[in-house]
Amino acid sequence: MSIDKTGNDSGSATTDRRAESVMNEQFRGMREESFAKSLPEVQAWLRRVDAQRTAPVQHAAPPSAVRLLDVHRGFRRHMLAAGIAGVLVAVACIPVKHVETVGYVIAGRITMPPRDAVRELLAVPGVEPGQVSALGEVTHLDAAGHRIVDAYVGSGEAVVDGVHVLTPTSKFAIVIPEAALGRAHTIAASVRSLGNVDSLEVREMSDTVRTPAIRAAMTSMRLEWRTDLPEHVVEKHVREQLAQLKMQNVTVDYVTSSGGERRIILRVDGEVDAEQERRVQEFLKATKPRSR
Amino acid sequence: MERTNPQSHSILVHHDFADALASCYEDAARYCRALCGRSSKRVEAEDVFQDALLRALEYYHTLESPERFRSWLFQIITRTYLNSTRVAYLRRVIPSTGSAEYEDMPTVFEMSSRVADRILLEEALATLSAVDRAALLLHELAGFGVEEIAKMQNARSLSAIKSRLSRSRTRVRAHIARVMGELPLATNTETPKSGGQDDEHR
Repeated sequence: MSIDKTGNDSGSATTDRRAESVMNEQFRGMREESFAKSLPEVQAWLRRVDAQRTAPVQHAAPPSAVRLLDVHRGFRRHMLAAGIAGVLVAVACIPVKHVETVGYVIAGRITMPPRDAVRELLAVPGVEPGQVSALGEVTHLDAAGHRIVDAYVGSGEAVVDGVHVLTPTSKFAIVIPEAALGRAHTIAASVRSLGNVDSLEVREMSDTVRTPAIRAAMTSMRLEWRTDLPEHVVEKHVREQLAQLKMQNVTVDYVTSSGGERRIILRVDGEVDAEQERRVQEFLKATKPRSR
Repeated sequence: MERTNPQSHSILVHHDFADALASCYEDAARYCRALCGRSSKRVEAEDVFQDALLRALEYYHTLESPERFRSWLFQIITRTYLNSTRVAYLRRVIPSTGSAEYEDMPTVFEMSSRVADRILLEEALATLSAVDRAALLLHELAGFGVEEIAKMQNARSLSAIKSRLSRSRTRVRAHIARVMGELPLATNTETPKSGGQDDEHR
């Protein structure tokens, strides 16, 4: 029998029973917590992701000897440091806090399947390959006559109630990097003149709002990242990050794969010393893969 | 339902998964959050849950028995959590153009205030190994039986799982009791929600 601080018999068996009671009660409380509110949004998100996932993508396997970062994928905030026989490949993170307009996104809906939409949009003057993406919308009309989007498909083909269909409408996005607003509106006007554009808007991309702007445009689609950012803008951000890490002796190279995707490779002459490595590792620890 | 080519039947496939998820979504969310722990780890639980759902979505077409969906999903959540705790010291990103950059999952776990007893339980759960904690939470929160847990954890025998559960409960209870025993007597009489008042008179 143990004695507690007051000098009385603490009743360890009593404490154990209370502990058991607390444990059971709290487990019961956890079982009763509700997450039902988030289920519809999560289901909708899963359907968008699945549509994005099954959209056809062309890619080339990165070289195995050197680690690369496709900085045009935008929002990764990791730094990669690897010493390989005296050559360090360091991948800088593109900061998202700089306020700088880097282009515009023209997004909207067009009444044609996605493949036709991409073909039509690519024919618009000023629009280059790799800047356009479209996803077909699978929709139904609710009781009030409103059109509800059930899913997005990259191929524009879907099986609905056992019937193979082509999606009649598509959501599209055109990323115009480093464009003046006037040019973006000129392109938008040309897009509108195609005649079967249901909706269209021009959104500015900047470093601070770029993520939500592109994410808003890309909610259910996958942009094929080609030249969405001009190289000198990317290089500027990369060098800024490297300068913060006191890494000056860096060579920046660019590689274009057969699929048209751009890769940036950073090479440091000589080995990275321990202090630089430590700073890189601290930087990595401080960055998180997702922000909420 | 036949699934031959996931891409040509993408509508049917992802309706299946999202719909199937509804049957055990809340249990899965509770389990994931409890497994990851709370307080500052809300973000980790969100990340684990998102990664697990994405993985399940990707491999859903390989699930042969729909009746196994629930245990299959919970196994994915558990493995995803265990993998997240084994991240290398230096987070190295090996980019691949084959990997997609998806939008983030909507917020599932909200930060909320907890009573002292809940914090106590969570601290006690944190003293368990990941495998023991997973087994206990699969049983307590998701209602899986010993046999199911044994399959999910590739246990050698049912008795191994029974021991694991018993040991885990004992350890959690002991931790709670130890903390309660260290508190001043006046606090001990205030926190219990049930049965506590009677103990003073014994």
